[in-house]
Amino acid sequence: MVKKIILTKQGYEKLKKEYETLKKLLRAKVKGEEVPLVFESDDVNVEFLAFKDDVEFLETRMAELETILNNAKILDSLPPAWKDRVQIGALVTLEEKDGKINEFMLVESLEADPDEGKISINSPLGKALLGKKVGEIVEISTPSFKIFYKIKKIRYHLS
Amino acid sequence: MEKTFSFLRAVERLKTMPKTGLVLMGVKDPETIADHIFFTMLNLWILTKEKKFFSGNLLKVALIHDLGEVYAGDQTPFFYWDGLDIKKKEERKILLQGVRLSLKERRKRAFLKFKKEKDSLLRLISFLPFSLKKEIFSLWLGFTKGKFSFVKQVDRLETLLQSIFYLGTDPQEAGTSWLEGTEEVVHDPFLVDFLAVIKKNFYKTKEEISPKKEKRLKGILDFLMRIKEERQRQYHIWKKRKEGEMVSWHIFMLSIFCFLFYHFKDIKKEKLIEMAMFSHLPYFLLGFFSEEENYFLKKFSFLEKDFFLENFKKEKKALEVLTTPLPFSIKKEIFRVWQEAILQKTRESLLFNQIHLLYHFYRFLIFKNEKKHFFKNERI
Repeated sequence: MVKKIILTKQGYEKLKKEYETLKKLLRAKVKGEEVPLVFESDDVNVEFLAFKDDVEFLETRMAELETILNNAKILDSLPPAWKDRVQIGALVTLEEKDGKINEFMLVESLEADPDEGKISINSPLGKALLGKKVGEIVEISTPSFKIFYKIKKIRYHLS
Repeated sequence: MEKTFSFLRAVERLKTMPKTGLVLMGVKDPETIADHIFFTMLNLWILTKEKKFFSGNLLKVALIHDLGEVYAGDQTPFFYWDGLDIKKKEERKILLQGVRLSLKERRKRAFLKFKKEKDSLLRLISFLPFSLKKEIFSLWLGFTKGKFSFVKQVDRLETLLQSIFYLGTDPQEAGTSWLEGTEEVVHDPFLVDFLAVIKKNFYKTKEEISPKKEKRLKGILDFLMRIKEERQRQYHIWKKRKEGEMVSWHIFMLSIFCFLFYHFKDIKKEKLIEMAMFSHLPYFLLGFFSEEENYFLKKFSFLEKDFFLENFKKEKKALEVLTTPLPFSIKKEIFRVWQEAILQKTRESLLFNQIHLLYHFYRFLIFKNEKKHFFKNERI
């Protein structure tokens, strides 16, 4: 059985939008442009190769997106086991010893955007946070230093 | 063409623009943005080969990913610290500890950074023809908006290696922000393994990784750190001379030339960028030429019958030394690219060498302009 990919509603919409744009682009490329002839001379037609490359690139990405979208599950309800635990889609508020607040949203790798605080569940920090409850301590450590985070709050923005 | 020249002159600023984070941490001779771009490309190429992952246009993305910094500068995490009069001490403290922010604040800062770099990039590419403008902007946008997440992760790993090389891993000296930041960004299973090897070797953590995989990744890590060492050695020579071009900067600019001056649709630009990287890799060991040496070498080298063969042997030996730690399959691939570029038997390599000559001519024109006295009695 294919594993379901859990996406937030925004993430799903974003990928769907990309898929639609690519679809339009591909249609415009095949219809709008004159498809270069394969055998114009004895040599390979480079224009055709470039055209083929572009089309192939679009088709590959579209196939990839199609698989994701077909197997995606939008996070619209919270399984009971997830309550109070850090899982995909959770907005986690962490507190350090000195009271500094750090916030992250846990997402699938496809949606990850660390600049915006969306970190993947497969990243080392994501793995450390996954499954933890409110009040639990998360430790990031090396032999020379230790950082402790206390999970202060877990929220889910469901669609 | 005049406008393209202005673009190139602007991009050249990255050669000597140091990485802000390292400057603030008090590193005397830090890597520059051009160095960072070169190392990101090198890391990316090697890691994609090891992963047996089709890199597509990722090498191009790595090449242009920091071009937005030409006018915007290298932005550190505290860049948008509202209402806080940042003093040197505070800057250092923030860099040591890393940034702790709410999601709202993160998004706000990400947007401001994006806007500043976008404006800078648009200003830079305004010198270029439409097709190149479009290509650079769409690749950059893809990178910043997370489309090329593999490059972003490699970029982050390269920054971590940079911090380890210059600052070490002692939290009092280096802080924890570089490692923390990397642990947030890296999520590809293969790169997570590479990060584990870095942590095991430098931070002395215990990591679970198969010995076979660890051996190969450790080889890659040793190679990358060796190139960083050689770069640093060259920098000290360059600092004394204050002229000529370091190998990493040369490769960076040559790759930009390959990107700009190549319009044949049937050959990928990546192939030429690959040649730019590996045809010059031996020079990390052999050293770089000053402009004067370069000029005379090019002028008279064709008179020497054995010059090519001698140089070929020298480069091959240097490449063998440098690539010793690498896994055999990657070493073989590097030699293949190097040999192709040097022997000039394929269409791609012939074209690459023409672009290379064009770049030398560009350097020469700049040098001629800067040192008019040197050419007073020379017929060019």
